[in-house]
Amino acid sequence: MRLDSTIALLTVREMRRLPDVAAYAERARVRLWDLLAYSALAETGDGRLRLVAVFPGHPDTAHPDVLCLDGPRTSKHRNPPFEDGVFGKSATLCLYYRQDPQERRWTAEYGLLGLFDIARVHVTNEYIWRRDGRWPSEDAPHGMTAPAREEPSLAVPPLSPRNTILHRRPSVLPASERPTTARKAAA
Amino acid sequence: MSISTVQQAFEEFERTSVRVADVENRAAKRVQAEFREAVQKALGAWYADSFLAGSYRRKTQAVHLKDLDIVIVLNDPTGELRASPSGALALMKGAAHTYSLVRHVEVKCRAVECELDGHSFWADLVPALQDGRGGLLLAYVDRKEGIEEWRPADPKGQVAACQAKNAATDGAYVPVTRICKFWNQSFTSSPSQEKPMPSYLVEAILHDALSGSCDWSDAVLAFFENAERHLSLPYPSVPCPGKSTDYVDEKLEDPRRLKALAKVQTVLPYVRAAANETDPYKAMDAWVFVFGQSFPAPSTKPGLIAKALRNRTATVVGTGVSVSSSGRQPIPVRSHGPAPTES
Repeated sequence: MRLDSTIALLTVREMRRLPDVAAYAERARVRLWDLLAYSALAETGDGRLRLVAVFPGHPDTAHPDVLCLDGPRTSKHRNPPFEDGVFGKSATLCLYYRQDPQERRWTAEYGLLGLFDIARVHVTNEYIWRRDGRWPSEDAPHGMTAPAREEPSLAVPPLSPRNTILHRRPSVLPASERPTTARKAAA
Repeated sequence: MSISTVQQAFEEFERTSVRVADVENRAAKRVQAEFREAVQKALGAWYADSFLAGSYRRKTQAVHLKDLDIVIVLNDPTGELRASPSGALALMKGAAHTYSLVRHVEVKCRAVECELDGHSFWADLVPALQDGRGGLLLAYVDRKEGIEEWRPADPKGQVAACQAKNAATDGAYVPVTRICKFWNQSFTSSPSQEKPMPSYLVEAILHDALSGSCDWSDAVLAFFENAERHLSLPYPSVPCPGKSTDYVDEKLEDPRRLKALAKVQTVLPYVRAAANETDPYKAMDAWVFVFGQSFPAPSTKPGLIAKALRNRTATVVGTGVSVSSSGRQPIPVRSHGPAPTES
């Protein structure tokens, strides 16, 4: 059973019609047909918002970017490029601190649903922050900062074992089975 | 605004979550005026008149504007266009390119679809001819089926029917249409993926269901009950609001009809429970099951959600954050941002 029917792979035609996605591709100098992007919905006090997850590289090696296409764009935690010279005004959500331990970051094992759920929490935090001036969930200081301490007990299990299978990283070969430099060169 | 009745909750929900944002409406207003002016200039003597039609004109689009239907009535003194509907579409295509915001044009069966730079909505230029009896003919070209003809149509009739129903229901019909479309759009984020029901079918079912003034919650219940009744029938049964001898569901294929029926039957018990609940606060919470976390209710109050987020007890239910413990547990990330100097 699909847990979130709103998640959809975006076609080139759809991306072309989303000014924020088109601008993202232009900044990254990627043609739209080379861009992997998915959309989903988020319901918040700001209404129904469209989210787009863009994968600039393989999910195992490159962090995705999540854009929020609707609602107010000024936030405590958004990434540049900022609009109208206003710090924090952009479409790109800054979901997590990339230097934090694994249990506090999105990894491919969590799949698209895990990624969009973090984004849903993020835009809900933004809605409350705009009302009350307080970011309810934990947040990290801006810029380079110390990573959070490791707390493996916080790790959320992937929703479906299938996610793990689909995104399992290849295990490291034992030293005896690794190709030697000579074999590599021959290959 | 303090909300103490279900009607107030519906009105707040429609205003903050369902209605198309002002900024989009303002942009569309500017774009359609500029576009019509550009097309008029480009067409010269061919141009007779233009007007807005479709759900944008009826103000029944929900959440986002998808398309602006602009009907261009053409002069055809020699009968050249009457003989060639595809020629009329080609004429539209040429005229569309003269508007500076048009980035991509695609000829469809009835209109040319124009993508607009910097906007997520598009414009459909629909060529039309006077039929000589006060009515209009719209081009219809389907090359696969070998059809190329002008078909009688009454785009203004649908607008008039919508306005009449809205007046007869004391202004409930248009906003409740948007609310029902909001539900219909909640199953996918992709504009090209199929919604349970075609958008105009939602309007027509509600149009058929309402006859007088009522609370919005009763109107929503009437919509779902009428939808179940019509979708259960294996033949077209939903009259077109603009022309009661036509059926809006004439082209609704059985697989889609049955899928839509299943969705309606799944939600209907929740709708009935919410509409029949006498305690207003419990009723608001019950409507959250139907419309999601953006519906104003005691359980979706920002203070309560903030507390749950602080305590890490908030979960994700459907597509929104909830205080319910039965939802999906999100990864406990720390939101971050660049240093001011990095921007």
